[in-house]
Amino acid sequence: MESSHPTWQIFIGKGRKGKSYAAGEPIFREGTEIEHFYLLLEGQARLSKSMDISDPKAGSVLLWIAQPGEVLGLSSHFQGLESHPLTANASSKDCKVVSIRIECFQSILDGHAHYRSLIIRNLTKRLNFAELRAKGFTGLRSSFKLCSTLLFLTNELGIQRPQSTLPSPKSVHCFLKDLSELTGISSRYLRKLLSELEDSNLIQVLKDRIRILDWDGLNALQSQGGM
Amino acid sequence: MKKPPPSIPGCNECTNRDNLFCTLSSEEKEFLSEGKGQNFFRKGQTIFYEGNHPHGLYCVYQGKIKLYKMGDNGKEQIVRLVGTGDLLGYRSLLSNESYRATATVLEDSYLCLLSKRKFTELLDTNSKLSRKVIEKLSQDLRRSEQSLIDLTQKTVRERIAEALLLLKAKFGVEEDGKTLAVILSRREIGDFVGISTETTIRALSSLNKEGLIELGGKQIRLIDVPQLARVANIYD
Repeated sequence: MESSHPTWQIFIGKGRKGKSYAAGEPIFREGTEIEHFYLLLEGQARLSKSMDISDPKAGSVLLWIAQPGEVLGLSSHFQGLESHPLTANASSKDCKVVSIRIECFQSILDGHAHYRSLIIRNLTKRLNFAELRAKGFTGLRSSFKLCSTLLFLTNELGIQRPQSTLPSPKSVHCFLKDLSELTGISSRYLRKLLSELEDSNLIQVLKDRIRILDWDGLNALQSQGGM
Repeated sequence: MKKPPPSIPGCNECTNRDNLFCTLSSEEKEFLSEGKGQNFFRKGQTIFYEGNHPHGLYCVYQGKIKLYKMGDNGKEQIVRLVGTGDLLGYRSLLSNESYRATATVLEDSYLCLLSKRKFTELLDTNSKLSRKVIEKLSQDLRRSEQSLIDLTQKTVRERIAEALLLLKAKFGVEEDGKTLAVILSRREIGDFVGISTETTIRALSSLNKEGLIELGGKQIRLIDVPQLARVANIYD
């Protein structure tokens, strides 16, 4: 992974240094004022909504796992909100973020069509995923939810491995806990389903990522509605 | 049977307000308007199917449309309702992907089909328009993520009450100030909320008995909106 994200070099080159966050550390909290946008340079960040903001033990709903190159806090500002409706936490130990003042970011956006289209593409991705999950939550089989989620995450956020032999396998950084929350499948049942997919040589489960070994096979399984 | 109007006006003469294109200059509107398609769809007609590739951008001059995905169990999941002044299929066009949902007309509708090339050209040159698109995506995202949270947290009763208030906000009410200005079957309301038709009927009938709404065939009158908001757990 690059040490600084190349697509947003304009923000990184002006002496700004990214701040590193430990896994689980908040980048911003729900309910706090939106003063900056946060460009994710390295690692991943979890965006979640608490069940009850006044009760830290109430738990939260995981909505999105942001990847390098994404700008956090931006959609809330463009919704006209003054405070963050979600919490962003570093989800991996190598999480590095640079904060950018809203006015500065907006002036860059106004002057560069390229950055505007990047933002539009990222928002579209996240929106498509929210709708995919909304569909998955309404009575479809767990294996279908899992296949759809894996395909989506790998397709949209996955990393192409150019050094691999053809066809290039793709993989996605995703912890089982996150995958469980994203799909709404219990951790125990998720392990069982993943192991079935592994036995069928469709995927390979690694420590912090899942590698897709047979894209077409997984796609076909999803089209059939799961296992 | 209602007949289509002789023609839909050009973008400069369009009376729809709060549209994405309202920020465009007269010249830009003229540019967008040139050669646009004008389409009339009857109730029940499908405008495009999930998986089709977008060839342009639909703008609703007048009408009501549902966007839905089909589950493997054959059940529709309505992902969005679209009305007068809204855009249709803009996300697929922006991401250069095929449509992720099917669009079917709920009431006779008049739509413009704008050129993809002209739209993307305007996005590149007009930062105000891009900003409007970002705002729209952000609002759609908030709605989608909120419905996702609702699916995991809210009861059926809360979700039905919320859906009725959303329909009121989206399509408004008739002249009596109470009847929803959109007609959806019980199945469609269930598909919108993500519950079965039977459960939808029971929840509506319970709200009816409590005097919060009145049911007259497919028409729904919202009698006590503040109480519905309390049931839906919506607070300002």
